[in-house]
Amino acid sequence: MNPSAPVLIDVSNLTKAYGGRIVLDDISIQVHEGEVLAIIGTSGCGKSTLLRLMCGLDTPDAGDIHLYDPNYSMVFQYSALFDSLTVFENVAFSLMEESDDAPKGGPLKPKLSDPEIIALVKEKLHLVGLDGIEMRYPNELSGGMQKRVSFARAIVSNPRIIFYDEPTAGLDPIASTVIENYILTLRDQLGAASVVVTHQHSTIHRTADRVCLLHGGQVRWLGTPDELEVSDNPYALQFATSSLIGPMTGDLV
Amino acid sequence: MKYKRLQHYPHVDGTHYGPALLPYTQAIYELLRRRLNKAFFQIGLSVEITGDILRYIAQGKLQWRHVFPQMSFVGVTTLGIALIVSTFAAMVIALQVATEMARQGASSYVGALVSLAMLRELGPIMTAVAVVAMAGSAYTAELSTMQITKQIDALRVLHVDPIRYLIMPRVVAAVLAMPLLTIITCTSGIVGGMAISQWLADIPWYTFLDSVWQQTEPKDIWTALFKSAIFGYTISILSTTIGLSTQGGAKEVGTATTRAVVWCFVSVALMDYFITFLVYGSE
Repeated sequence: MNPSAPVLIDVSNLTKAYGGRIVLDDISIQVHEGEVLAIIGTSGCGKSTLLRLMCGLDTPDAGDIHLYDPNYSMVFQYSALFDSLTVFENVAFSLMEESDDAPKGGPLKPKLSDPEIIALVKEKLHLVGLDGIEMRYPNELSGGMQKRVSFARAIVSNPRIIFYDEPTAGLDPIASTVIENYILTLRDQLGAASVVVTHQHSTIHRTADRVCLLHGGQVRWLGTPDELEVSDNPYALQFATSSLIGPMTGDLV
Repeated sequence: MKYKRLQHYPHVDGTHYGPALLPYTQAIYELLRRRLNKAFFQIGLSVEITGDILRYIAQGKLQWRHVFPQMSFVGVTTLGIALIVSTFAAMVIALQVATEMARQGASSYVGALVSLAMLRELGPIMTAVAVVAMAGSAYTAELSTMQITKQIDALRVLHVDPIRYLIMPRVVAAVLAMPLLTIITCTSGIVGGMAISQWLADIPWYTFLDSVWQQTEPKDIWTALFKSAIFGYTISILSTTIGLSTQGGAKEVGTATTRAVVWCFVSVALMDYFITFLVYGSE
């Protein structure tokens, strides 16, 4: 990661509460161009909420979120494929449908011809190892295959900002490696800024440039994956060692 | 004393409303308050989404390639049941009045009676019942499933407004398809009534049709079409917005679908009254 690279995601003093319970409390994070930020923490600590707020699916109670590139996308935890559309139509969806939040300067994506769309969809499906399934429906695929289709759909327009909600959860190790490699490919080739919510140690270590540990609605630790392993911060130490002894145990037992 | 009694009962949501209300009154008040809140939320959401739809149409963003499949869906799923229900409704009217009217020498009015009953009331209402049961419930189930499986979120992240992509085509399709269905069901009903009149009361078909022709005014036809279009709008906007605002899991999909059907029936009945009052109230 280049610290002098421009900031693509800027979150400042973000607060969100549900039904009186504060889920995120005054969170501030920046993600630079070409950086992968992993957000980790125990279940229910607000990781997915932070991700939803960042990509505009929810509105914060306080604070600001700025995305400095309108071409962003997201990989959902449970795929969220459109089950009435084929795999091809799912992946090609953002290329075929008109954008409703295109910036004033022009369309969000260039208008592509049908042969170009077909070629692009086949290329992205090939990248995630799913050739020849274009005409199948999501319910004809396994969970892992659905996840990879969801990944292909998210990257088809070569986004500059990508949000991943548990991208490798439920995948076999080889499929996980494919996804992790592609997160790095997007980072290196497009300079994409990525935010990855994950529990997988392999995903953290193989993809992340920085790790943000959330607990109790606050950022408890921020550093590199290597620093996570040697940190004496009680939160980082407990997460790295998967120990039952530490400040995060109260929520779990 | 009343205050002491209140303390023996758990409050509905932990909120104190003072000692003035008896516990059961308080529970009923709370229930009504929640129902009203939900009703106002749903009405507000429907109005807001209608505004968005009109804005998209004004901007030329209506995509007919999304509307035609929905029209086809409404027509194909509904036509059979709408035909059966409305034809038999007209046949029942003919069955009940044709013999008696023929005996009283009023054979030439049977056609008019069946025709006006169909156009003014039964045709639009029976078509609406069929559309609610077949298409409206399917809209709610589909959209609420999409909501709880995050497909709606996926649309938003892909920069596509679910109102333009999902709701607008369904609303436009229902508004256009309902009058067409009503024309078909009214015609079928009149033919059914004619057959029963001929069969049971020996009223010749040409007498029946002459009566239809003489007594039916263009206003009756336009009102039937207008009513159907309003019913189409009401059914589609309610069933889609209820689907879109569903939260939870599989149980909530069922609850939302039931709620949508109930809301649609009640709204259609209210709309029917007000339109009839406006058009025929002064006659």
